[in-house]
Amino acid sequence: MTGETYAMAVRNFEALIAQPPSGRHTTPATLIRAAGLPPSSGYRHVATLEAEGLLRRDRDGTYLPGLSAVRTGLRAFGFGAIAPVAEPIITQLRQATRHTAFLGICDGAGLFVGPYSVGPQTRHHQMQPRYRLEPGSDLVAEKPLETRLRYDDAGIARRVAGIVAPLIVRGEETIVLGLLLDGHRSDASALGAPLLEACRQLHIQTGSPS
Amino acid sequence: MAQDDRTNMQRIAAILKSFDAENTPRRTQEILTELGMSRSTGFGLLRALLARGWLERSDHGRVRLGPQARDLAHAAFEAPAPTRPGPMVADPRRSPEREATPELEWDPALVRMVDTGRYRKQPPCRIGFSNASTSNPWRRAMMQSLSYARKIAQAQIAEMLVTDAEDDPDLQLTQVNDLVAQGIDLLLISIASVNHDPLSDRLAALADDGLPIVAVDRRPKDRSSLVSFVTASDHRIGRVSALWMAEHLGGRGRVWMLSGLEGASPALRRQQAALSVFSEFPGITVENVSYTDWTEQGGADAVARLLGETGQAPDGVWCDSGLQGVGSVRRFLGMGGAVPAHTGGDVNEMYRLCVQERVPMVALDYPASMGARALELSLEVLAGSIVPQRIEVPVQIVLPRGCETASVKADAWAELHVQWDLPADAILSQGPALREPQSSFRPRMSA
Repeated sequence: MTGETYAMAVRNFEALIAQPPSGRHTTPATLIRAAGLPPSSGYRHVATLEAEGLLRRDRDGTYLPGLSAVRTGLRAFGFGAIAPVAEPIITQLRQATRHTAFLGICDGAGLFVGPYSVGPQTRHHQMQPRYRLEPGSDLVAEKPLETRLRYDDAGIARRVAGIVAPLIVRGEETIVLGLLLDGHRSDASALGAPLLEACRQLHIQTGSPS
Repeated sequence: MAQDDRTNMQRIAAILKSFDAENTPRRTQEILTELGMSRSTGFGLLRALLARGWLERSDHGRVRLGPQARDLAHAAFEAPAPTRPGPMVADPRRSPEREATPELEWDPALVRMVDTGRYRKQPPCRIGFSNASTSNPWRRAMMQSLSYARKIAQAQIAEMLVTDAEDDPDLQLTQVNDLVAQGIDLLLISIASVNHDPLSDRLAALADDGLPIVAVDRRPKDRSSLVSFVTASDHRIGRVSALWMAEHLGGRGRVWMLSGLEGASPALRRQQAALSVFSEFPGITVENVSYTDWTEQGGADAVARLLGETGQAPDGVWCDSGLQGVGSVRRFLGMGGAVPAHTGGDVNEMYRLCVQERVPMVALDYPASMGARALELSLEVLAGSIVPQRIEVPVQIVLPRGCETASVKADAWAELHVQWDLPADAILSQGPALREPQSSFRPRMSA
């Protein structure tokens, strides 16, 4: 096999793995089409990625990144230890608050959004992979921070309200748990307590210092 | 070196998964040796992954996961609902009240992890599934979901032996022994009765002998024999449905409770949670608690008997599932007049009836997709991963429009959740298996 064969294999992998976050695909055919792959090999590749846990389907059959993908992503940040507990923590937090719950990584003024679960109260907002924090947003342990998360949508500057609490600080990076807020209906003061409780549970289970 | 017959896609997945939690840089030769890849193929893939940023070079020629791999962390655990006409929540201009204060009922078992390194086994493996029964549509849907997951993971499973205990714990004990005698690497079990001590004792002995055991849906009384338990929150189903009923009735009224199968742990936990909520409303009278075996006939019979005894329809019928709820709703429809408020989802017909006949209802589908999740977890155990001690598959709150109460809001509208094109007995919570061609799931003992 030549170098081009391997490069093509990586490009095919990349094309398929990039689809679930960017679109809603409920059949292998639409996923393969969106990835620009030929059906002959596409079905085999999708089956492989599903078997490897890098893709999965939810209850409606919609393709999502698999749990192995989330673990690999968090390992790439060096935060792999929290990967096994991320799903139960985020799901419970979303279920209790009905707001979109997420795990994020703050790097200075930027916030990379990792795994998340969309709550009915804030499902109108399309989760972005990256936000900018408002200037002066200082993260303090045990203190949820209500802030504006800024992002660009087709060249238009937009913002959404959020509340974040720091979990683990390592060098320049801080891993946070957060909730998106709905300006009309969310009561940030009531959401701080479950957010801190989720942080506390995560510390207990991973043995990580706050 | 053994012949490596994997595809390049499988090799890429294996390379990306070979880094530890801290992303410690690794020598390339060490990775290739561990994964059993030839030098030419392995270095070819490593070079391609480095070129695209999936890996990055560290010091002394070592590599680690790169910036492209970090993007994999940006992932939804559940797909957001598709945009449909009509707001999911009330328009805030018309309904300015804020949400009730959230109540976080934290179960620490959900974030307690188990290191399954001692069960690690090279695939393909042999898994035995001892199923409590296939006596109702939910159980068949759970089996369908498990079978779907098996198809996805066929390369990792040499054989899956399936038995059906027909709700008989003595028969299940015999079947478990048969499965073990046939040489299985892991036992997946859904217990026929939580109170059967000989079965619990046998599972404890098997666990002591080193057999990994994963329970799904129903667990034994003594959970110490289990590596993990895959379920959904019965407590949440019982509590939320009872809270909705009490609030829907304005805190006053007569309620009949129709539980599922006596002795089954989900029925017991839902009933306890519901009774606890009803006891907080002094104006709510629970007139009766009946068992229905989770069948439509059981639901209809219970309602007929209670109507005969009391001579008066109740204000609400709390059902822990729509499996018996369908029988209850049909019985009231047959009498004419208004049908009392009901709880209980799961089966398509319950939604059809309630939406068509405008019966006030709340449903929390007990997810049949836990079958697939249990098989995925079993494979994680045999891969030696760190896994949760308990997995709760999320449960949605489904309400018809206009039926939300102060504390209970819809995750999905019943009018959109119901599937008019699917059979009446379709279980809507079985995940992607729902629209798979229905194959035969006759239990069989493979030779």
